[in-house]
Amino acid sequence: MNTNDPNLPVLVVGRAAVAMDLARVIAGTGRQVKVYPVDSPSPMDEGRPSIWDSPGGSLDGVYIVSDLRNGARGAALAVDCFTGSAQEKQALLQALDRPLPAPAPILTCCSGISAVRAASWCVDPGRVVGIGLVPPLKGAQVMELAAAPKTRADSLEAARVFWERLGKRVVQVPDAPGLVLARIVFSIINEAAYALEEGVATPQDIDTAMKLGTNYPRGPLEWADQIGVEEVYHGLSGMAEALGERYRPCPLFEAYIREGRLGRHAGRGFHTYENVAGDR
Amino acid sequence: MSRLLGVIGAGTMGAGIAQVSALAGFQVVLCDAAPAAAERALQQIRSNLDAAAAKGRLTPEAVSAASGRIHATTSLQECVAAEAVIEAVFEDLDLKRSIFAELDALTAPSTLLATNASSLSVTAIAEGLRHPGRLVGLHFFNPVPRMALVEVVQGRASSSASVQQATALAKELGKTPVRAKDTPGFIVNRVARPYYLEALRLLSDGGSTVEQIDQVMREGGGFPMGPFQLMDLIGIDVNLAVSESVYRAFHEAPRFEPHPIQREMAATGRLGRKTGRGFYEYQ
Repeated sequence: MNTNDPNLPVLVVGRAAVAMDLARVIAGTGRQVKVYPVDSPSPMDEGRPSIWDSPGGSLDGVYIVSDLRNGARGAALAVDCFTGSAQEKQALLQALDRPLPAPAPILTCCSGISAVRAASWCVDPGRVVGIGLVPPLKGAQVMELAAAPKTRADSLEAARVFWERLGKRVVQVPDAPGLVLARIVFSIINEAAYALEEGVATPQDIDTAMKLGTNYPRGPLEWADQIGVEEVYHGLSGMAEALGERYRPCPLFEAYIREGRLGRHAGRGFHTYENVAGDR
Repeated sequence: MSRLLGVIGAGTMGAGIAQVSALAGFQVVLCDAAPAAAERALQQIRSNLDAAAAKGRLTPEAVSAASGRIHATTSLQECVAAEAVIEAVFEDLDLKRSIFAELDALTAPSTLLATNASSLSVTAIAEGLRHPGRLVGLHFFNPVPRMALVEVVQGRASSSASVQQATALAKELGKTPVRAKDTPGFIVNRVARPYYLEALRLLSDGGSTVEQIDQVMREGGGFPMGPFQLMDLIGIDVNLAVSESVYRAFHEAPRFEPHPIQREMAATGRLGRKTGRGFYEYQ
């Protein structure tokens, strides 16, 4: 099986914000994408957030699946976009690994975990490749790849071709939680969260300051809302476990997650979003 | 009657503030204790404005009108009638306090006093003044004519009326004000620290190069410049000084700890573009 045969589907598993961001990019090249969502409440439920739809109905080429085994059948390649606790990540990866056809590589998001650790949970670690995923993905020109010691050369090459077919270039980086981009961006977001928690400034002023004072492409807090508050929280927690306490997420993250302030797709994160139908 | 602003300190920031103020229609007293420093700054402002006119951004009339509105002097006394005085001298607490002590005595209590200090507490600068309520931070960004942001900093003694007046003034100067509490690094210098510190840690972790990290941040993250290019541009010593200042002010919280790579480069004169060599080499 050619894993990058455009006629063979890709399976994407993860939370709404990241999974649909990636699914749109893949579907935009004409390749079929199946998305298995792990959000709660499930987007299969009535009143699900509008991120799962495009205006006028479901997205061409993107199919939401409610059963991971069925979704994995026939998939040529799988992307695990999920960032959660180590236990959650392990459970999801193993649930994906079992039904996924043997030749299909698993590209796993390393925001909060190293590729070597993720690979250790799979029956065939050789098919696991670490990737970076920091939304928004559409305009990103370069994607990170990380090889674990057992990652086979053909798996790494398949991951490279996957990104190149999506119009991206690839940079191979060392295997560590956060890789390069997430480590730096999530740390900036964390510092912005501390500033907010300490009452230094309003969320709007923090974001304006970073855009106009040092030319960031977007404010850290609106960026967190776009990535998903849970992704950032678990990414930082994973980095803290592996790399040290300086990455420990600001307490504001846990408070927001408890309150359902999960980001733009939920209608509220660090900011409040008027036009998004969110679960509240 | 034309509105008068005082600007104290004719270095890069003071000159930039004087330039945007004059362009915004204010009469400006540009004051520097060093003889002829303010005059030299005025020449620089004139040539900046001429360059803008040559690019069609300003009319020649606007240029000569703006230059004509700036008066260079060594005497603080000439600020007596100003509606606001913006201080942009060297980052030294005692120096700033002595300047504000003079201005406090010299000007009417209604005169707004603002400091461009970036790594000092506005509250500390205001200590001991008879009228501390009228002192706020107005933190501009380099280069002042190009960077739209101003952080309006409320010290513990700053009155809300003064904060509002400073915010309005910033808008009249064509800037976008944000409001910050008087805390180390305010917003930008604090929240930006990981952009540099994490890049340095990644570099010393090994396995990725300066070029790769910069490329991922630019082409993966959408930042206009990668962290190492930016440190070379700002000046590795300047960037380190900000990091050291924020680190000390946060009681050496580990996440703010400056990196040995940067300390070593600053100590050995590898300061970036200005010395021809930093993380990159420059011809």
